[in-house]
Amino acid sequence: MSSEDSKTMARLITERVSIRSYLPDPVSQEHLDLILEAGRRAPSGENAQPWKFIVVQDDRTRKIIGDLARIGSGRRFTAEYINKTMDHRFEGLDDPAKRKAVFDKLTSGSVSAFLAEAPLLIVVVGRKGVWDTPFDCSAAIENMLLQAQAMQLGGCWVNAITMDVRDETVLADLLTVPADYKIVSVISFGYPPKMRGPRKRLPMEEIVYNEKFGQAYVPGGAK
Amino acid sequence: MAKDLDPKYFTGLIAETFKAFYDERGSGCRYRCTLLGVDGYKKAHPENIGKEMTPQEAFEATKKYLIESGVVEDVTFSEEHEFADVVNVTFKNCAQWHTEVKLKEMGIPVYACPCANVMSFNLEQGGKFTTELATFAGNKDLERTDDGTCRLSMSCFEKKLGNY
Repeated sequence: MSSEDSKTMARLITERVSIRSYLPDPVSQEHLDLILEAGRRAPSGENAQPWKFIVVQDDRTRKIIGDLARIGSGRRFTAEYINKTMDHRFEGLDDPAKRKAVFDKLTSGSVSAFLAEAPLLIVVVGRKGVWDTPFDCSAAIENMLLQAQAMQLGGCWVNAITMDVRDETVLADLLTVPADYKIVSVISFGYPPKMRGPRKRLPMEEIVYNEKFGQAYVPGGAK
Repeated sequence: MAKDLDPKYFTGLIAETFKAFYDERGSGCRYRCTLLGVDGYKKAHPENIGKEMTPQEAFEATKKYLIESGVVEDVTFSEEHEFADVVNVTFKNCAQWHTEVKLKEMGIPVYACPCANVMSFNLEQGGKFTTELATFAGNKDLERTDDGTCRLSMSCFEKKLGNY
């Protein structure tokens, strides 16, 4: 690996962002194959490779998955309205009609419905009888997202749709996933209308400790 | 099994299992327990699987099952409709309570309610609504009064499925 390769890798990691808006163009077979190969090359505990990747491009299946995501998101936001977790979003809004409009928007679930519009979904499924399945599958997912980024494809790692066991059960029925596998995540891919810049990250000082939890680490090494 | 085993042994085991799951999965564990308690209900009342119920009917079916099976002493129900459809339920002297006390002693938030899950299951059977236990969102603890009553609120979100 050259130093140029290293820089390219660092740039890919830095510039990767979650893309939730896609052009309708299908993902090319060449790009799809490279994404799947990146997933296949991921590390796994004891090289168990517990993953299966379900490629979903069918219109109807994508719409159903989009609806599942929308409903799950709307359900959670509605609950957050009731228990006042989202009160701050209504600050200064005294007009009931305006409050209702904000409520309807927040609880529509539309923020998660983009899965229906993504031309390609890869559903990552892991074997239950393996110790490290969630970790192994997560490594495969990140590999796939980075490969997509390298090809100017947008991608988004979506857990909301598989987080609640009720939704996962519906999705497992839809995709005929057997009981000895669990659905880990859904990843959407497509060509973005435009690439966005990276989102802010927490500073190193806040996330890195030296030797023990809470002990300050000086980025670049102690002076 | 040893004779006269203290039921607290099982209560403690259940609490420890909840703790182990919480330690592993974090607060997301509550979404993995939304069907807890439902299997027993489905086996006891298979005639209710897939049966569309009004909120009042869902409450009646839940109350009948929970009292007959000795899980609670009483269940009450009310509805609110301000922006969102909300179902309020109370469960009196629930068998789960001692487990929850133990969990609190261990510093773990209560994140699953099998009684509420049965109510949710009944509400969702018609396919019109999906529900969420609102009192748990934001990691709020269960609220229980001195007379041993838990109060819970559930949001009902209308599904509005697209045409496929």
